[in-house]
Amino acid sequence: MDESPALLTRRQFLKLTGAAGAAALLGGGLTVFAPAPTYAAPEEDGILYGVCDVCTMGCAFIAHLRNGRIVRLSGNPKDQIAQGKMCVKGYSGIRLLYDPDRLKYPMKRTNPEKGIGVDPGWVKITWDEALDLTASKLKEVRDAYGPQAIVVVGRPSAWNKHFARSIGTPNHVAHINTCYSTHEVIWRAMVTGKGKPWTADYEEAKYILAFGWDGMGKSKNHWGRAVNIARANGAKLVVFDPRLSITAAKADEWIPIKPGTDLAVLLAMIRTIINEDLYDHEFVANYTSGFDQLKAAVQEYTPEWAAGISEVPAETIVRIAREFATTKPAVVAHHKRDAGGPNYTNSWRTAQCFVILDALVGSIDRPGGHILGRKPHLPAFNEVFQFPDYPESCHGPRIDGLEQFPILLSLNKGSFSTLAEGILSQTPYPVKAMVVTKHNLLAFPNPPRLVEALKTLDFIAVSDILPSEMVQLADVVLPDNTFYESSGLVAREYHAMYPQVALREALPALYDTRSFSNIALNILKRMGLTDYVPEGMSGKAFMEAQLAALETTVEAIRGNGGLWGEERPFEPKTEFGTPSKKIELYSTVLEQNGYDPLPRWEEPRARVSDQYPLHLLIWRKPWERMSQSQNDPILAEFCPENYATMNPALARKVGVGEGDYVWVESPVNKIKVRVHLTEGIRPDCVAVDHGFGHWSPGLSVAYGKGANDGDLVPNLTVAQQLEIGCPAMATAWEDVAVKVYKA
Amino acid sequence: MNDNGRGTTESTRLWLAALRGLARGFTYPDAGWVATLLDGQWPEALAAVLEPLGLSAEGVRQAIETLPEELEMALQALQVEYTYLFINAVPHVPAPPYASAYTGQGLLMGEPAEAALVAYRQAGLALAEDYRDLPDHVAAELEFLAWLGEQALAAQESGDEEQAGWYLAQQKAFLSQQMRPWLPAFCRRVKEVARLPFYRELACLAESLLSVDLDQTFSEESKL
Repeated sequence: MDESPALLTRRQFLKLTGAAGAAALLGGGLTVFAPAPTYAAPEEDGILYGVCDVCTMGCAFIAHLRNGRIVRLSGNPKDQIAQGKMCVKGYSGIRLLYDPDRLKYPMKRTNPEKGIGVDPGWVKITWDEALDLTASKLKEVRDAYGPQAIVVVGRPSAWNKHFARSIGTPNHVAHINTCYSTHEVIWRAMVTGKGKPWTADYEEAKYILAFGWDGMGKSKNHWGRAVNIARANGAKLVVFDPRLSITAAKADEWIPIKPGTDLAVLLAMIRTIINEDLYDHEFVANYTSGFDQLKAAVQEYTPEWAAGISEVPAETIVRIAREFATTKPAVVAHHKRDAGGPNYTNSWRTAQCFVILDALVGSIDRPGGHILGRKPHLPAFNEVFQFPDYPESCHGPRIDGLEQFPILLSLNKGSFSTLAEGILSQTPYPVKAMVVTKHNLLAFPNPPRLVEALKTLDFIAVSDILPSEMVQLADVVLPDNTFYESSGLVAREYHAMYPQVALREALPALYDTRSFSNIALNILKRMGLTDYVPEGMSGKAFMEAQLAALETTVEAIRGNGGLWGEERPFEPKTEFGTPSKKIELYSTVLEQNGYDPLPRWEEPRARVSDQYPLHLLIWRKPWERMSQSQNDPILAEFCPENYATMNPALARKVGVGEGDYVWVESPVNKIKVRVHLTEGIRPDCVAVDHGFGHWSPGLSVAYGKGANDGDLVPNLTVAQQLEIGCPAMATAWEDVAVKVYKA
Repeated sequence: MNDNGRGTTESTRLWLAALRGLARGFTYPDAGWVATLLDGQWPEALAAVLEPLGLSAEGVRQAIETLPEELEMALQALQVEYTYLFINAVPHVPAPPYASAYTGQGLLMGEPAEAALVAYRQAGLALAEDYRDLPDHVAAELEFLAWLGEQALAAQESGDEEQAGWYLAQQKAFLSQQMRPWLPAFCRRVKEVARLPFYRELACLAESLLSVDLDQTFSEESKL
């Protein structure tokens, strides 16, 4: 054998160390394994109780495990919402948990350049490094510019709020003015003193009236079932919508109303019901106030006037009004992003009319109507943990201008529409750092503008599950748990006829992911804000305090099939959360805050013109739920891209056919999508479905497919929002005129 | 590995040591380990165990030479590359280091992960408390393969042939049923997409080390 010197060395090496020594050196002490305490037989099949968080309906489910892996989900039969079933999105949730694209470890960028299409050059770091880096950057910004220079973007959860307020920033920004702020503000002002009710007793209704509401098309598990049961029991479903939505397709009657004019129809219906004396005298007399002022205010809104605006025949308006008032119980269905949701600048007045219609027929907190919250008392954050008052700076002016909209401010959730211009114009002050938890760029109007704004920041930390667009702009990535990997108690809200709480048990977290509550606490500690993180503050302690308040234990809830709370008879409320304890048809709260106390016609923002002759409509497919579903390969197979859905009459005018590419262009941006033809849409509209156009290449399924509707929607300045005058800062997502031409 | 001859046992030990090295190579690089790459200890030890087996560590050695000389720079280069190849990347992780990514439905934590977990349990092992990754990660499977062989040798030395036979059977089954269905595809992927030669060379080495026929290779006369 040829014995080279190198080999000699190696032989000597082996002689010195032996193969075992070589293995030790080569292996570097790597230890994936630990001895199991005893011989471990394969784990028995087990179950875990959970609450779905793909959408906010929150169906309670049972996860069936094999060797610690979820192999199947089923709806929890004891849950008022799920009733043993889930929807397509919920069943698909497992694929989010096991998505190969998931964020697995904390990371930081090595490429300082940021932007669309720029590779951040991720490198994995430890949690200590990630938390130290985040805390030190936030401290730097706070010390140099003040706490308000830090923005926290995330859902309005107790932990997120505590995190922002402990830092001392007023800027905790959540998404509701793209989603349901108008309903929240109106219900708060007129009925609840809190937010909007989420429970509607559709199953018992005999007449369901919808304006742009597509609860069945969004595959909301409970509502789809409840509306179908109601219809099987003889209920009538009437849908006003410029587009034949899935709900409209299931309806007894579809009325293709002109976009943004629902308010006119509603005003005329209110007038009809009052003038023809069809309202519920007993309910109105006992539980409402301001009826006479309302009656006077709507006299100018005749059905003929409304017909001229909405293109709905006057006799149809009158007939539907009569049917609605005389078929009991009747209810106006609403949720989010409908005609009364913040889709139009006049949506808040539309939402006001929804409440009035419900009140006139006695359908607020009555069987077959909207049911106000029946949540048990679960102790709030500051009841469980003792910490000093938050700094005064929490109440200062905000980067999104929310403090200039007092009712919305009192709901404490923030504005997406104004964030970009606030940052770019440094009004009322410069902001320098941002912590984002599970909110994506594409949820904002005009995301390219927000990207420009975010590029001006010194530091961005993002906590998320998948590498979204927001993650591509992050300096530090803090990988979050999915809802399968977190525990807690979730009060039933989307259908709570009696107080009921669902148990959420955690699967051990995959990879090195952590819940944001844990992340937030550790950042606060490292920022030296230890007063706000008292000994024992943790998600677990919070849950234990809530269990104690319910006088129960995890074992007891488990023994009861994953749910706390027994069915009890429904007791209608006789007092409401307004200053007068009545449903205020004439809203003193709106009046005191400088808004019209009574509904009044107001034109929507979008004016079609020769340049932009079409109305933009936006909708979502039943299996589509933003970040939670867009990267799912099986759901993506249903429909790989989104479309410009249009009437064949319009397509002929534009000179395009099925499958052709078109540009849809608004005054802000243009997007390129394929044409899909249907008779089920007004010829003066073009509809784009939401959830596409991802430019984060980190989403291997969603990347580069279709286009983002939100690119067409203008973002706004606070001054523009004030001029619009909506107390709920509506983003007016659909209140946009566009043109369409062949690409 | 059905022979008690000293040479064969020695070859087995070397092969197992190489597997340990490979497992370390496919684990996230830290400063301590990268220092042993740069000062030559690790590649030398690798060469020492590979060459008697008729394999070369030259490719790995040369790949290490292309790394920056300064520890911090080399560490960052390897960490960025590891993160890109195996954790999260733009456009997306090109070579997920999990069996489930190659043999399942494109989701992680699929049946191969479950099978790995069951195999570990049957051998009396659990994933360590501070191990944060999935059961079918390449490093975990390699380490397990090495561990089974080490247990077999230890049993042999103490004269427990039955126990040794059990471990060897487990090892053979794990290699053929768990690892071979995906490792070649993984290695091909790494070779195609790796930007640093280091992980390409590790992938080549993995292909060689795992293509051995356990019944044949180690029953031949030792090359030492």
